[in-house]
Amino acid sequence: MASVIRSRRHQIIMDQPLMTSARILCLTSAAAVLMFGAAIAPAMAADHPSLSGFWEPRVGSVKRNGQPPYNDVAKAELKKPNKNTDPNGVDEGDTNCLPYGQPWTLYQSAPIGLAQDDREMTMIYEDRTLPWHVYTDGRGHPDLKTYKPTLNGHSIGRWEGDEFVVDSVGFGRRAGHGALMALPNTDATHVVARFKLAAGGEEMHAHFKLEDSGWLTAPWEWDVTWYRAKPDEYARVVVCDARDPANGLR
Amino acid sequence: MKRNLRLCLAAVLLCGSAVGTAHAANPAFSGFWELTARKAPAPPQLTRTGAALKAKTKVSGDVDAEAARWCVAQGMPYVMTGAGPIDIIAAPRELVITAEKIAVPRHIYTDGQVRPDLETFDTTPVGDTRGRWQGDEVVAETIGMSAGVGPAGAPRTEASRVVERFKVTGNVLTISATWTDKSVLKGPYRYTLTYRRLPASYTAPEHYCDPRDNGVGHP
Repeated sequence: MASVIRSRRHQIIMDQPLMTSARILCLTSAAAVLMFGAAIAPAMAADHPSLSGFWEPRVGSVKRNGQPPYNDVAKAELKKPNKNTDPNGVDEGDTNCLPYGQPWTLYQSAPIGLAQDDREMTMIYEDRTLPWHVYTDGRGHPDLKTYKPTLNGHSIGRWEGDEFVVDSVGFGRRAGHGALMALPNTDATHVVARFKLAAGGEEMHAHFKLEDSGWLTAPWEWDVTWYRAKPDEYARVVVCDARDPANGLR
Repeated sequence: MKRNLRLCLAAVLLCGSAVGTAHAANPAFSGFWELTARKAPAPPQLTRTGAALKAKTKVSGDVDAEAARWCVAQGMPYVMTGAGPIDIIAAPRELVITAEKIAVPRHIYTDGQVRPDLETFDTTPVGDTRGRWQGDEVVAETIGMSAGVGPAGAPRTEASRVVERFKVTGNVLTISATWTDKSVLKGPYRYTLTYRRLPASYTAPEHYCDPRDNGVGHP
């Protein structure tokens, strides 16, 4: 919009070579409005790309390079019956409407909503969600010895050029919600995600790197692509009620 | 001279519309806000239908107490009144409001987006909200809410409509709300919410609700 305003101003100046009182009034008014507009414009919008909006994954959005490099402890844990290995297994998260955690929740079927201001990036998954706050005000992580772990962990973000880098630690340990999904998070779970716009802002690409010495012998990395929803798209809320006996049935 | 004035008017209007767009991301609204006061000149006056509906529901304030015990995410107005500090993110095309307790996030679309056809819209606890800037204030209208518990325990129905006026003065946010619903309310129910801005260093705690823990869980 700023360029449009500038063009309009230039057009006015070129059309009217003589400095009339009306033109002085006009330029003064326009300048005042421009100054006011600049005063209330958020610094972030000018400084960084805006990731705000609704983003949806599609088939093939998640590109993983093989299986996670599990350690022996993880391999033993995965041999225990769970919803993935036992055909009669029940997902306690589904039956009880427990919220999903990041990063797994970000690339499931429902779109994610991103809202960005100069303090934070908030990410919302519209189904069984807890808002994921990524603080961008320059703060660091809290002392994890005293921090109460959370489903989404404690996340701080920074911009590296046009890339938004999110560092998350302090995850809770609920089963079924881990970054490795089938295994719970641990004190060592550390996720670094790098988001970047592509295709003229119509796509958002992310690279995830997961470190967890509790389960992995080396970091595990993968890529995800989301597609920007149409401008008239709106949030579609899904409310899960644990009293519904149909929950979790497959 | 007349042409100059027309051009001037056009330029100012053009700039004015740009300011309107910039208002959509007015940073003054961004922040964590804690409710400090809730005032209403009078309690909601219920119709016979409204009273009957209320009697059927176990209500605690603005909450369906039975649903909350099962960790079912609550909607309007609980998300604004009882779900703990709210976080407003003033994004370019909307105000996003999240709360800390079991509440559905709100999206207040401020960029002139067209409201969906309510014939096909699936009602939700927070409905569909469209906002517009009036000077430094945001006026938001919400419809399309699902049946549940409304303000001060009055029933919320699919016919409920709420208009809210958001205003920020320094570190104080004021929301003046008016609920209307002829099926359950004898007249408009008005109340005002006042919030204080929390420090910039504030970190949102996470209220993880697990119905197996009587609605009080942890991650």
